[in-house]
Amino acid sequence: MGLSIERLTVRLGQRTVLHDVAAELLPGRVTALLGPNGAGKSSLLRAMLALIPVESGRVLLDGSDMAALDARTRARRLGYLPQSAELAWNIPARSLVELGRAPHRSPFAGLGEADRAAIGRAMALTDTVRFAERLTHELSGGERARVLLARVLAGEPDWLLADEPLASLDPAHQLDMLGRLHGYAAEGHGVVVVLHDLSHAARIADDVMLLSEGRLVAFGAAEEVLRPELLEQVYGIGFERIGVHLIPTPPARVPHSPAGR
Amino acid sequence: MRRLPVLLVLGLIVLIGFVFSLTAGKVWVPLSAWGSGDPRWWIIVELRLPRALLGLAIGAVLGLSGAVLQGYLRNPLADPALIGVSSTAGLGAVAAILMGLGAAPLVLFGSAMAGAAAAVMLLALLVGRSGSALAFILAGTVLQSLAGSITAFLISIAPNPFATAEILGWMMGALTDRSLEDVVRALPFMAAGCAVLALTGRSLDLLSLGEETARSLGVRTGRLQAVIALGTGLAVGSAVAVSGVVGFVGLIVPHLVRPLVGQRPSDVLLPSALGGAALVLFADSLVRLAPGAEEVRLGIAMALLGTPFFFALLLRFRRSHAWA
Repeated sequence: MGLSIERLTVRLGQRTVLHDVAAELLPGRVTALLGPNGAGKSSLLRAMLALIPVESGRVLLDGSDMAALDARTRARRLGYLPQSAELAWNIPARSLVELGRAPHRSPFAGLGEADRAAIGRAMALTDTVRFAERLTHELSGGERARVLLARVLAGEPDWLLADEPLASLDPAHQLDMLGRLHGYAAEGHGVVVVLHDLSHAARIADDVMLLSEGRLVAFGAAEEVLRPELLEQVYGIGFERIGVHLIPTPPARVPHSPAGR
Repeated sequence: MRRLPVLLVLGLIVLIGFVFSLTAGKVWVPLSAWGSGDPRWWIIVELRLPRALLGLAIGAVLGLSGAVLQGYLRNPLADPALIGVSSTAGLGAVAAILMGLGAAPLVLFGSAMAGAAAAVMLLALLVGRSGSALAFILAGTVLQSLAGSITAFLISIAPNPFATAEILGWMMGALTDRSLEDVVRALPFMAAGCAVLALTGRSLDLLSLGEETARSLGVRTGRLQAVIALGTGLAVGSAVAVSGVVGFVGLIVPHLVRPLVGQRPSDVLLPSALGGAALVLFADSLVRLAPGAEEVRLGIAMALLGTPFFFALLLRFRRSHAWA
């Protein structure tokens, strides 16, 4: 049971971005997707959501093929928090959170009792009730990130798939967001999150999928995968473990290369 | 909920505009003359009523389709002309006029609708099933300029000045001398198109989160695009077929409405339809009142009215977004 990825191969144009990736993800745990830029983390997430076509292999949710599911059914089970949140229109925060209920509402029905309750819960959980009536373009980055998380949580998905949810947040808001993701997993939901900061991964991940050049290099419990020698092999630089932190070595200054090189 | 009062007020303005359109003109027909034995009653039934009905319908079509396209493309500068339907419908009509069939209203109408249908099919062909808004806008722009150049070519080979004048006059857009038959012919297409477009509200709301997120929430973007192309083709195609190209309404009206009802795309649809109807009804009444023997063409009046408005909009946009 859970979310199983079976020998997934994905091509975008001429490039094969995922080769034969396989893993079994379990609910109630946070799974971090790690790897250098271009390793295929976002593609894996999007393939799991059936947003991009797969070349071969499949993704099963509790035994049923995701690609064969009706789009609305899929939307009720998997929530997607994308990397760059586009907000085309300046609507109140509450209206934005309401959008997350779409998969549960029949096309022309208004908000029902269950919808209102779910929206209220999601906003309470993300601490966004205070600015529910404020326009989204007027929110700070941290507030907006929480409203967008509330939008996903309002859909009450069994699985939350988040693509770099910490980008553009300050350290305090990063920890806050990590805590909320962890809390969602603690309620028994599955959480899959793409992260860049290895220390963040060490802090919240139960399991880690380590990707490199479209291949799954390692998959397992966080403490087994987040080993300096394995990370060095993938990222091409050394790491040192200090407490929960994984610090790149040498920790000296970044070498300064002349412009144009 | 501020929406309901806004809708009621807009509805009232449309009603006033409709009555004004029946009353105003070179000959003023007061309310007292209605329905009585007054000979001016004839003016109302034969001339003013079709014109007012068309103004109402065309305004609603342009306002609604403008709001849908702005919501779909997430671009405040979009308008129905942008996807090429108006130009191809215009091309169809021009071709009919050039072949000397301009006097047969049914042929003219059918030819313009065929032009609109061709645009919808070409859009589907060019964009495929990707459902990408960017591909849609590019294909529409290409169609628009293609239809524009073919139209220019047809004008250049017009056999005589009368045909040229007829084409140019038609292209400028007007509601003059339309009969009730014209109204009856166009109305079902406009109504069907509007009904199709009105179904898109929820999906447009979800698209404000971006195409991928909307898909992750169950929106089928390919199907949505087909629905919008079909709805616009029916509604705008038939509007152009009966009145020529009237610009700016679809562009302006959603912007007028948003400060009143907020920016959520689904909230903008119905108010835009009402606002468009009111705008065209009043503009068409005013062009009749302008001094001089010849009426100013509605399409020209709209552009004259629309351009300064649009500049003001850009200035406000620049101030609020500080991208200057």
